Amino acid sequence: MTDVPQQPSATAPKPAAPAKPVARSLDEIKRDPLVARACERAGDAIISAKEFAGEISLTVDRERIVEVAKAFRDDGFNYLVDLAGVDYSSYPNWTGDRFGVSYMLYSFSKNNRVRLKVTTDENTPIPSVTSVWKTANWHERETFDMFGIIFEGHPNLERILMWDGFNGHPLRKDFPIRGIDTGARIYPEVFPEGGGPKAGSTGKDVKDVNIYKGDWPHYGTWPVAEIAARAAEGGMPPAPELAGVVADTAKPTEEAPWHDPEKALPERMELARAGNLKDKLFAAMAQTDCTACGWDCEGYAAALASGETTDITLCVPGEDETESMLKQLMAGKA
Amino acid sequence: MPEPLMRYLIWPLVKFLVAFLIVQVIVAAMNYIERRLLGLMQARLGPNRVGNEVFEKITPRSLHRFIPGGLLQIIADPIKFILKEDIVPSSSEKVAYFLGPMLPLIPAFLVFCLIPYGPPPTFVVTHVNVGLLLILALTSTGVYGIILGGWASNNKYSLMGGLRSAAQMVSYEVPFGLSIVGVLMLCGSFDLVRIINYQADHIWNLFPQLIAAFIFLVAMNAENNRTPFDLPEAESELVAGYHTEYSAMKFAFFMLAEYSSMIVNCCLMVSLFFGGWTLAINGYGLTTGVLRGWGLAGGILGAVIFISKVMLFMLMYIWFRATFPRFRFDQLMDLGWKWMIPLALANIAVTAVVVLLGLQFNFQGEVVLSIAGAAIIAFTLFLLLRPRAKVIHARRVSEA
Amino acid sequence: MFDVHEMEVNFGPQHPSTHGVLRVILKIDGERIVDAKPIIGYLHRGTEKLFENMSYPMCIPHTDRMDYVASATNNLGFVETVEKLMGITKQIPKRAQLMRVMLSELQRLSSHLLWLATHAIDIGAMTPFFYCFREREQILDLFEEYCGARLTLNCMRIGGMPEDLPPGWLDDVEAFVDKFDAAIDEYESLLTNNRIWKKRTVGIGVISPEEAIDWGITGPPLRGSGVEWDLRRAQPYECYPELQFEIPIGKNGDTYDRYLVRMEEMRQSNWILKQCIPLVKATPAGDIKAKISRVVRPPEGEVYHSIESPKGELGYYIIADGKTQNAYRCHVRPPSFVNLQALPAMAKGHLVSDLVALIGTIDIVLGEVDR
Repeated sequence: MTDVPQQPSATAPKPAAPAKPVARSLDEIKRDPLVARACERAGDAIISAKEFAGEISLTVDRERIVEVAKAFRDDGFNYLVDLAGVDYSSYPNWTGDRFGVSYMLYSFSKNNRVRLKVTTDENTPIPSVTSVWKTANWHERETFDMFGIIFEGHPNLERILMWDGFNGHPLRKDFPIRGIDTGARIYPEVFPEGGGPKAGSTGKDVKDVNIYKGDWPHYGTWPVAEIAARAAEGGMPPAPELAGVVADTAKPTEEAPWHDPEKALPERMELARAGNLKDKLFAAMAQTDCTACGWDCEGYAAALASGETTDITLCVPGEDETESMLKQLMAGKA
Repeated sequence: MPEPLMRYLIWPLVKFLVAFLIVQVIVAAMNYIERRLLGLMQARLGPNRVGNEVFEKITPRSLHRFIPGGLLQIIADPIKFILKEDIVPSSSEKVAYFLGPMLPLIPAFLVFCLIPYGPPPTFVVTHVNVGLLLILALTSTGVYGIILGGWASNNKYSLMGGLRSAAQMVSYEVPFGLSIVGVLMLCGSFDLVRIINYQADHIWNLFPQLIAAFIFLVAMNAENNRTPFDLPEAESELVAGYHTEYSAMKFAFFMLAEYSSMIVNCCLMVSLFFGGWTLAINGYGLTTGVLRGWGLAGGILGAVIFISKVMLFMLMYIWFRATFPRFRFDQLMDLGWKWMIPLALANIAVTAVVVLLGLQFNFQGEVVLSIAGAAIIAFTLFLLLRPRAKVIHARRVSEA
Repeated sequence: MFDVHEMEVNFGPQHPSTHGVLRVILKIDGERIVDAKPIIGYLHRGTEKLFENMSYPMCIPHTDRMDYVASATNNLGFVETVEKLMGITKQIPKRAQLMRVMLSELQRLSSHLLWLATHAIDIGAMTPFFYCFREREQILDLFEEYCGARLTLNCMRIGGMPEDLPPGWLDDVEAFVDKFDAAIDEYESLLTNNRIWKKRTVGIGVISPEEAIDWGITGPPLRGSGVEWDLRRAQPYECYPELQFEIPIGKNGDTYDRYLVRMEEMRQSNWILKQCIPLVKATPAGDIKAKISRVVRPPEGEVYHSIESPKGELGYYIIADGKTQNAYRCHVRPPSFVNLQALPAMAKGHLVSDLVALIGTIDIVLGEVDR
């Protein structure tokens, strides 16, 4: 721990040596003077090793990372430079666990770096190395925030860059690059007008799309594939910024099978035929939950049915079709 | 009109209004001067545009380069303050929030009746024989407005600013008052006119009361919340301190009160330690008698001398502001209680002993004190001006 | 739970001295800080996500936006990492290397000047702010002369530099560096021996060398604690081995030592610049690019490479899958992010006034903290 480095010699190794043509085996790398002493103590936890551009990467058994980290720290690697998560889910020909975490270590006395790696999947926690290096605290929080990798034994594992209650982990490969609708417009009681979440608004329950419940496919994906397919057909991709995401929140449920923007109006009305006035009004809406009217589709229908509003012209995406249907339905009520 | 009415009401009122107006013009001008002067000291321009066109139209071309730019900023600023929206935080304590900026204004303006601007009787608004006490009493009430405003804003930063201000003003009121005691001992009066006349007949109190003058200078900076003691409004810590939530005219009132009390303190400084409107030593030079002998012209000359001296001290405030970093709060308290007050008490003791010995053995106490003061000044100048090694750099740190 | 004397204060994100959008939740007892909890992320733009979705050359302008007061060093770190990944580090021509060193040292000066300006004004000294900006303007003018931009330079390319130096640029740099030492003296005459300045900085935020390493602190804060470690010397890149400079270190690890270290670093950077000018003049004009393919497609592999940015160790961790022109994963190790982590440990027990001094002395840029 108390290894205050001396002035490194001027003949320090150039960091960027080109990749060696002949790859060394695991045992050879373990005997490398750089890592030999640490490997003596915890060498059996090291599963595999790789060398690239003069850097040694050691893949470590996930459960024993703390032990290995301690061995390396005691051997002079008292500075944890960086801790980075990787999502390998779209890596070409990848067969291992989905996530990897890399620990970049530096030794002041040896003036060199070593990389430790562990792999994990969505649900298996990695033991936290905060007990070994204090600096791991924020790094692990960031990795949790960005990938959803859980670190067991972390004193305060909460989001750091995204806000509390953000749904999803942005650096996962299936997170849409254009972002997701965070619900800012749909839930004004949580997200005040003017956008942005209220600090500490995590107490909100149920429907809030913004609360992360560990339910991964909840937010859906940005329809990159869909755009590509339409472009291939010659058509333009859908214009509205969040169309795909909004449609995703408007999935049909058992109570409201008509709540699906893909269905045409007559089909929706047919589905809602057995229901009460509110259901029929609901089915007449455009089903995009666009909130242009000030409610989601169900809310607008309920407002019309209860007489809270009498303005039937508010549904913008439904256009004339919806308006005339609403007119008929409201006239029926009268 | 009956004579007493004229003497006790109308004339003082007229004099007060004239003095008040002049002071307010000085306040407005100070704002402009401060900004231009800070600009000069800080390698930038300061306000240099407003009104240039007007002056270029009404003056001959040859004079243009002598007119400082941006003169009408003096008028533009108040107009801006008046026209801006007056925002009242919804959760503030409305009455107290309203009173906050008003309270410091009352004593700040009232004090202007008590200050002699020139030789009496014409340039003294009201001649109170305990004027100094009254001024001290009035100026120390200014803090209530700041505390009230800070509390009523319902903002934690404002509250902290108000609390800092309260503690600071209470702490520095003590050395502020104590530093004057030595002057009172020498002059034997609370009457500012008599103090000034005494200085003209002997020597500026600066010399016999050098320590007191220094303490007074520090304490008046602290009293006015000016750098390096501007903690109540430290913008980098408390956003804007007690006036964070104030806008428009209410904010301007705080500014007005601050600058007014700055002027009051400078007037006190000049009256107590720098001979007021006189320029005389040991009875020779422009004493009150000489000035009164010249009639109104002499009076105006005295007032000009007085205001010039005051302006010099106002410029010193600006100079301080450009130079010093800010104290921390506990350091400020340390300085006040552990250094200023003991020093002031020691000064009182020494002055008292010397004055008493002088009475006993029949020599002039202030001469002895003046010699000591002059010696201190000479020694300080020597310390400041002697050739010194260059500043220490980090390489030395690494060598150590 | 709260003690009855404690008050919770929201310090930022809209606060004059949090240097951007840092938010610190303070628990204070009177003015004494009981607990400080930094909240970050207000400036998060998903830079790492963007890196994964664009080719390597397209990433370079995005690196500018991380530490936006020191964009040349961000560029340098990124292009060097990609070059290391491609194994072309040794092919960079001498002239390009020198130009990179000059730009990053100028950038170090401008970053430190901004730091000094804001640090001083946080502590209440108003004038150094304007003096520092006077010189910083001149540096930005030099940048503008070279690449047209003043702040986000985008001034380096993988394999070399985008264009050669404009005629007369070296003379302008020379004129600047000749005057700059005197300018540093001017700042120091206002601050270094000032009693109030010392009172506000000596003994504030002391951090021991062991603790500093444990927190992963790098750059001037680490050297202020007495650890003589500078990546330019420890793991030299570009042509730093040929240049002479000293690594200033502090003794006590307090705010004052960190101040002295940065002031001396400015002198050292100026010295490096002075050495560079004749060296650049000796290299053939126009030799600024390695002969590499225009399409940057590194082999499969992963590298971590870091440089000494003005704020500390700026590292890039790039994983390439060998198939595409995009990085499969590009992680940035921002010095501000890591250094900021030690703020609660440094601030505990100090006063609110010291917190602004500490935020200043860590020298954070929120664009880099949040990425």
